[in-house]
Amino acid sequence: MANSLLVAQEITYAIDSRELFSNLTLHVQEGKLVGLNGPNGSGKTTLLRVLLELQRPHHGKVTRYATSVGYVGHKPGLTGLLTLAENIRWILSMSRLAIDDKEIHSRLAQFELGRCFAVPVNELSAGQVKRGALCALSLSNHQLWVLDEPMASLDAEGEELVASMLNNHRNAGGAAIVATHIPIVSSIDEHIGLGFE
Amino acid sequence: MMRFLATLQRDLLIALRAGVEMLNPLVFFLLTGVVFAIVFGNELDSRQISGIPAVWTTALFANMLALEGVFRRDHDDGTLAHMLIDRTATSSSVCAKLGAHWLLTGLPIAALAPVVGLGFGLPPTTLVVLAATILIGTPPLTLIGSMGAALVVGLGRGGVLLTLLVLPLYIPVLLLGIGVCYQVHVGAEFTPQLIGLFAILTGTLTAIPLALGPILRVSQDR
Repeated sequence: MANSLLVAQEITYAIDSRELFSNLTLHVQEGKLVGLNGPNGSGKTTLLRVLLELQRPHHGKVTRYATSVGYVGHKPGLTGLLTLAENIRWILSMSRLAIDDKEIHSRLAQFELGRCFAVPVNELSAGQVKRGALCALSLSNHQLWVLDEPMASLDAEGEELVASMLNNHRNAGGAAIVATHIPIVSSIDEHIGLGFE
Repeated sequence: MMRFLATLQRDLLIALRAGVEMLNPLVFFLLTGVVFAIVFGNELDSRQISGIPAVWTTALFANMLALEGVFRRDHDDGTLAHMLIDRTATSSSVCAKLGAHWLLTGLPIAALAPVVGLGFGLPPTTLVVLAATILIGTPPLTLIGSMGAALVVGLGRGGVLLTLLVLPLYIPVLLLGIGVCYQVHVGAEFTPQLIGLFAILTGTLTAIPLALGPILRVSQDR
């Protein structure tokens, strides 16, 4: 049986009197892709932040078993004054990984960012920044990925890239929680709907 | 250690690329010190006596000036989340950030203190002690201030709130720092004040880095 990487038990979160989700239970196991679907404002980002323990649920408990968790959210986690390569090196160092520049360059090329290796992030487009953040994630060794609207700002090719990244990660025994406002990732194993009447 | 060094290097690089922004506290320190030296009159004795607290107070505010931004940029671009999600990475990366802050503000302020002190006609011994006490006193100022900066990081413009939160906690460091300099200046016993200053340095270095992770998480939770 696959190991659990994250378990959320009966979690409830409300803003003022409006409950975003209530008594939600979620098990994320190795080799599983879990999709959070719902319209804008339905609480997908809040749920992800609760699962990442960046916000506390009003009720319930989140337990993480994954050895490491990688996150790409609305804010990409890349610093504008640093080059893409410098950002990636720092993100990898947070996972105690030291990968040589050749490998970073080659992975950036796969994300069509080969020419952006030494370009400061504040000179890149929103789509390129998102690709850069995803590239850093793909280089890391995180067991569990948490992605908030990974397709946002990406073109059709970028969307395919994300789908392929997720499949590869699952095949390697990893797991992911992916929040999207449209159910575009066809290979998702389990869908959780939020905010649907 | 890898995380600490990588974050230290990253923050120094960011400061270097931010350019003039990083010089603001030092310019403030120099200009305010010069203004105090001009307005404090011509009598050497009174200028020397008022020079010690003037330099120390200016150093305190210059250090505080850069504090609001210590976590702000990382919060705005999402890198703070990387430091908080992996709990084992939080302490080392936050310590590195504070180390970089001190290298960029506390250390240069301590180095410039004798230059500002010269404007008050302070003798060489007092100038050396002034620089030394600021060198010992600025790490606690950075650490205490970082707790306030961590608390207000999620609130848009938290500058005034930060000042209100940390200023009362700065007072013991300020009084002890001024106390050591004054006692040396008048040739009196200064050991109790110096021990007090070192005690605050040790206490803040030990306790605050551990507290910052939980404080930053609380400030994210809104």
